[in-house]
Amino acid sequence: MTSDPAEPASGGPARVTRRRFLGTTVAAAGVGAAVAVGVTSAVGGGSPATGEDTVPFSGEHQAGIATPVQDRLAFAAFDLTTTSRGDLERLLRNWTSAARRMVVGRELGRGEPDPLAPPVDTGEALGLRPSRLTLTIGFGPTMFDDRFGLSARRPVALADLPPLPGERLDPERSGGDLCIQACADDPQVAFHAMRNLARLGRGTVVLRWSQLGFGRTSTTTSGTATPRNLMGFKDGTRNIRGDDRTALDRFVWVGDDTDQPWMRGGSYVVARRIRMFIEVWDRASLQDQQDTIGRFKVSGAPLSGGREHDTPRFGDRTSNGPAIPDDAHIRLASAEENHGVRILRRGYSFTDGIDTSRGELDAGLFFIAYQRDPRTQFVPLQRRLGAHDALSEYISHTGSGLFACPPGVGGPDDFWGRSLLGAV
Amino acid sequence: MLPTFVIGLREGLEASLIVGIVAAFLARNGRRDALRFMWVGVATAVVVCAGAAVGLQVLSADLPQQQQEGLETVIGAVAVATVTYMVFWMGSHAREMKSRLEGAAADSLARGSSVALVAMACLAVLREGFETSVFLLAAFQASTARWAAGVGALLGILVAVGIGIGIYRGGIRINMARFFRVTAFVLVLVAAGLVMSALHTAHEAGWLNVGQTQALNLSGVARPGTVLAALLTGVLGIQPFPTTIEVAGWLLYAIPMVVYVLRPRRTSGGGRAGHRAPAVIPARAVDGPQGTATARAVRAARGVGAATLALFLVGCGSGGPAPAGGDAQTVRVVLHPDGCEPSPASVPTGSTTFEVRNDDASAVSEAELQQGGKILGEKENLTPGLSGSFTLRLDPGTYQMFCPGAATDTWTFTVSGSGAAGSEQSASPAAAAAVSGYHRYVVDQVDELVPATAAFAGAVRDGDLDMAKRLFARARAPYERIEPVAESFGDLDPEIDARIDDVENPADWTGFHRIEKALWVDGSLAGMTPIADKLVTDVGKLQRLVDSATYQPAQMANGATELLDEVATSKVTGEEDRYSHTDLSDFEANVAGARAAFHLLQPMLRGTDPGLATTIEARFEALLAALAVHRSDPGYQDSGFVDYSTVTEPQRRALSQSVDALAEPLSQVAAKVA
Repeated sequence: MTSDPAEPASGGPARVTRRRFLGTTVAAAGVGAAVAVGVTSAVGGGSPATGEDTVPFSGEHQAGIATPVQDRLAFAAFDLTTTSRGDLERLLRNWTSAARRMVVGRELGRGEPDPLAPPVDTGEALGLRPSRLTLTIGFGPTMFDDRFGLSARRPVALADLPPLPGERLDPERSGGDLCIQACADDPQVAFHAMRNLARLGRGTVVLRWSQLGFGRTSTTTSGTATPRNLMGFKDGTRNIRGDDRTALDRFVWVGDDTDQPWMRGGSYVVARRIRMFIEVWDRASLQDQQDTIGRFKVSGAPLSGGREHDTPRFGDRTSNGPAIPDDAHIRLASAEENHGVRILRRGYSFTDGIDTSRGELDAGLFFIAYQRDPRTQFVPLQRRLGAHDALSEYISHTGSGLFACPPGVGGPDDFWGRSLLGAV
Repeated sequence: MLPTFVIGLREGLEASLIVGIVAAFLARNGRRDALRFMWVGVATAVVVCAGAAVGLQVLSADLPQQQQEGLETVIGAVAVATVTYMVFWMGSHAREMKSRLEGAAADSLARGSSVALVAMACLAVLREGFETSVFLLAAFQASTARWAAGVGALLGILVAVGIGIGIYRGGIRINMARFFRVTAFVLVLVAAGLVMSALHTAHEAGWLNVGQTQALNLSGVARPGTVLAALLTGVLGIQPFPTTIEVAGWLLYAIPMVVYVLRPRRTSGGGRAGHRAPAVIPARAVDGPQGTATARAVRAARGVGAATLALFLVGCGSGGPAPAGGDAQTVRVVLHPDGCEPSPASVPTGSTTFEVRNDDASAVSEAELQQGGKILGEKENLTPGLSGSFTLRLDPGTYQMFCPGAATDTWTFTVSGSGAAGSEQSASPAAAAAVSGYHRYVVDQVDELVPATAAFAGAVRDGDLDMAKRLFARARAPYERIEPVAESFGDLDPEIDARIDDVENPADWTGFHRIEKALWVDGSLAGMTPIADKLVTDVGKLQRLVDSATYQPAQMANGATELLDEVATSKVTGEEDRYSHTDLSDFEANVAGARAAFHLLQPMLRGTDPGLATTIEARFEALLAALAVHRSDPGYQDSGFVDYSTVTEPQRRALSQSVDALAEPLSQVAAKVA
């Protein structure tokens, strides 16, 4: 991405200062290769290059999946209120063109604003950097009912998730015909994108539920420090890396073997709102906490010893039994124990204030996982975890969504879902 | 033939309008079932009147010659008195006729009595009918060709009923003010002729023997047998050889009456007099394209510039500082027991500061700058010794400085010059039609609000809890349809419609919601009579204000969006009618008001953005369909809907999302029609 015509003022002194500040903190934390590269150029080169904080919108796959995980999330699920396929296509075209503008930091609308009309862009992102904004769309199973004549195009992999152990789902935080995942390093940029797409869709879609994530809990970037979740543990140490093409092709991107050619290059996302019983967790002893996860809290190393990124030795034993307990989270979630199955995780910590019925913090992990077939990846994993994971005592799945994310979009005329709506 | 035709036409049309108003009221209140009671009343009245006429005629025929002449004199005198009364009555009461009739009908409905409705319709028509029979009878007796007179009367009534139906259906548009004025003129001449005939028959009855010398010989002017003679005697009842007393009587009656009928109507003060007649027209009837409302709207649209529009948009209520840049000028206003003359009384257009001072006037404490009854700026609570100021950017035009309590409380203030650069817009015909249509809509709503509020207040005064509860939602609906307009009149909206959390001091809380709390929470109407009285007064104020209010297309569009914002922020949440839970009828009224404004703007919008017009219309349909799910007849507390507290969260959410879906494109309209 090159310089942004909508922001001729970019590169002013204030901005450089802000970027330097951001850069220093981030660099000190030693996080994120892409960000670090940006910092180097901003600090070292002095010139306010604009390319490093935009993520290309078009490509073979949608951005926001293998993209290095941004700091903040705004996720929204929508229901279609129209039954017209024309309306659906118009919505997807409008959303795509708005997304193209927003990811490069341009405001919506062109020309002089009319003082008598509401502004086209809601405005809260004016003057903010693109902040590596990505917008990712997914289609829920309900979109393939008889309303739009798409039932024959429903992928078998988009089977409704079966009831799973350890869940207490709130229907008002679950499901949806469509979803938008907005990720950015600036929370306001992410929220702005989600809000403006919701506004553009008014009359065609209604919001079903939404979730803000204030901090990433996973990394998809090699060689960077692993962030911690609200339990204080490093999460996603063994996640699929965004540059691991072999793993991505094997576990994330839908291949030629799909029953629905329109999904080639796409992926399936499972989003779960996982409420943590923070108060209970906080009074658990350190040993209990470590045994529950299977790692040392501070270093992140597996209980079998070594360093964080050392492969856990699930066979190691101590005088009290396995070094990594049988019901430890990392054991039950590991590829080794799951016939080699892996998923790409992109979760975020969230809080929605307090749970008024209990007066406790309503917070946890908004779990997002991408995969090529939930039936063989997320579902068996969760079935096992929900039934046996020691962590289940401290968490509950309260919301759930499953969506088929179509492949990426190409040139200016292409739009999200064209391969689906195209030639039916 | 002509005089009886005019009588039949005029009286028949009045009666048709009365029937039309009552019928439209019943239809609008979903009480078509009560229409038959109305017709029973009308039929009764017609039979009674016809009977009276025939009876009098038969009685008169049976009498000896001299007594016959005596009876004709009496009938003639009664007829003259009747027509005189009628001309005066229409001149001063026509404006309230509609609301009075509606109030009476509402009252009858509220009491649930079909007998009351029959009696009400019967009495209303009876009055007209009795006038007609006496008058016709007198005209018959003065006429030479009675069959022609009969045909004339019949034709007149038939034409009148035809016009009445046409107006009710909305197909015929006539300038009612002009119609009543012209017929009043003809009737005065006919009545003057009757004065002459009555004096003539009085002499023949042997009752009157003074002034019997022949005053004039009109046979030279109109030789008997000529057309002119027929006109003079047949139409005007003028004798060919009138006596002194007859001429004197004719002149004494005709001259003051003609002057009264043809007197110029006030044109200042918003042209209220000129607008009198349209107010008597039922539901969908309107005055003609040359009607005063349209003409005024066009004038207003031409004269009111962008600055005034901006004022409207912010609510017109306060006189905040005007934008800098104009040549500041100062107008001094001294509050005095005699008045509040602005000095100077005329300024060029631009930013103007009004410095208001009260030296020693204890009865006057406030000065308001108004235009057509709308407060543009004001300074209140200036007791002796205090002063204050407000600044406005004024466009050319005539304004009124108003200081309630003074001997002369209204002073003219003129702003001259050409409008602010770029703000002049010549209103398109579509824009003029939109604003005049909206003016009419608002007036109609308030005309419905007044009797409904009166009926509600009546039940409150009577301490009738159940009745008041059932009248509450229905009384509010017309208000909710035009709420943004009401909000533009300063304190009026809070006084009528404030909720407890809108007022600074709960002791000052008035209006519908105060009574709502008494009804549903306190379960007692103790102390509510003053609140009910004030509500009726405030609604009356609103009626006077909307009569002369002016609008702009963009303002109408924003008003429509505001109505939906009202729905989104206070109806969906159940805050509006938190005690009664009748929120859904307010909800529907807000949507109906928004839709009425939109429909009037639609022709303009079709020209600039047809796609937007189609989208909005479809979403109105969708919203109304979502709302229809909750309809119920007669519904919770006669509101037409279910109790809002029984509407579930997901249902409320669906309503809310439909409102948002509509309001989003609706908010684009203002810029397209400005």
